[in-house]
Amino acid sequence: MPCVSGAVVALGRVRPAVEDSSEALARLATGGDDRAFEALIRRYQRRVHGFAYQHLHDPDEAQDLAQEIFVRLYRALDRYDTARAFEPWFWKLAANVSLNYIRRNARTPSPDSGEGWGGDAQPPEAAGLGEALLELEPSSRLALVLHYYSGLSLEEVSAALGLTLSALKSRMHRARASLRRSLVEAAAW
Amino acid sequence: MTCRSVRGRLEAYVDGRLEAPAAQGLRAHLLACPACAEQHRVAAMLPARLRALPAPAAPDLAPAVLARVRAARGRPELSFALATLELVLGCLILVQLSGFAGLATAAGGALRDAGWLLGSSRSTPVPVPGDLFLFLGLVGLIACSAAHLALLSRSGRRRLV
Repeated sequence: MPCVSGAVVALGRVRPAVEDSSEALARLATGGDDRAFEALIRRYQRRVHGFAYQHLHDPDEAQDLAQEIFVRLYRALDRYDTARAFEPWFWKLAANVSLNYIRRNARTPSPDSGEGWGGDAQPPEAAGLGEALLELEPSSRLALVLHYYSGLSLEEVSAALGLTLSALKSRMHRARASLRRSLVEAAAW
Repeated sequence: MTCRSVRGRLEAYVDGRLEAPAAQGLRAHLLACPACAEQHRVAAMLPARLRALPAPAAPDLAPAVLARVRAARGRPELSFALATLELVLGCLILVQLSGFAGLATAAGGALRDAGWLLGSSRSTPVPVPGDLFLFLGLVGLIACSAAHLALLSRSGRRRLV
């Protein structure tokens, strides 16, 4: 019987509860519980969509990529080692799906037109940083987004991208230096 | 310190990873060089700006994802039927070709062919080396369909709730 701490019994079924850990939800989803998988989607969808948006800067494509990440998560659940933390494994999967998505679609992301923001315009300063991010190599952008935006530790990002910690740090330093130069140049115009 | 060497170390300095003497030299340069000071100001703010990057409101992805997952799960029924057909046909062909008693003959013929291929038997099989390829092909077909069914059974554990 999988761990269902915090679960509530409703209509004779054990339903996942919001306070269940991601590991417990993943275990339930692996066993065929669609409600647990749905709870996982709702728990991560805001962060995954934001991560996808920072990577592509297109609201429609971000939604497409975020969906793709969750579909691939579902297919990969059989391979999830329930003795390990869910998040690093999940973000590694998300990183791989994102890189494959960029390769498959073989296009350079363009600055967001502003559609999809629901009437709230993107702040100009943030737009400048967003455009500078798009000029980076996808793998460098991914490293920055995973660490700073998604909040993964450097160790988790290095595991997700298959890099040593020192290789990741030097890649991120180069990427930040490139962003810094772009922002200073843009401000000088 | 030159502007070039300072700018090459700004990110390490912002992260507090520079040795004390290098950090001291860099600070002294920043006090005297407004252009590098501006680069430093941008570098220092960058981590916080990256953490606060805005994104459009996330849509509810659950209905679309669950629909895609359920649609993909609908197809294994066809795969089950095809894999079962493969297995049954493979078994029927094998028995029809040789019968149970003939299986031993086919296996013996396959062994003789293998011996010829490995050079330990001089008699050339006719067709060259037909028994072996037929036998291995049929065994491979049966093994593939059995593995196919096993994989489908594993993925079939996930049922709609």
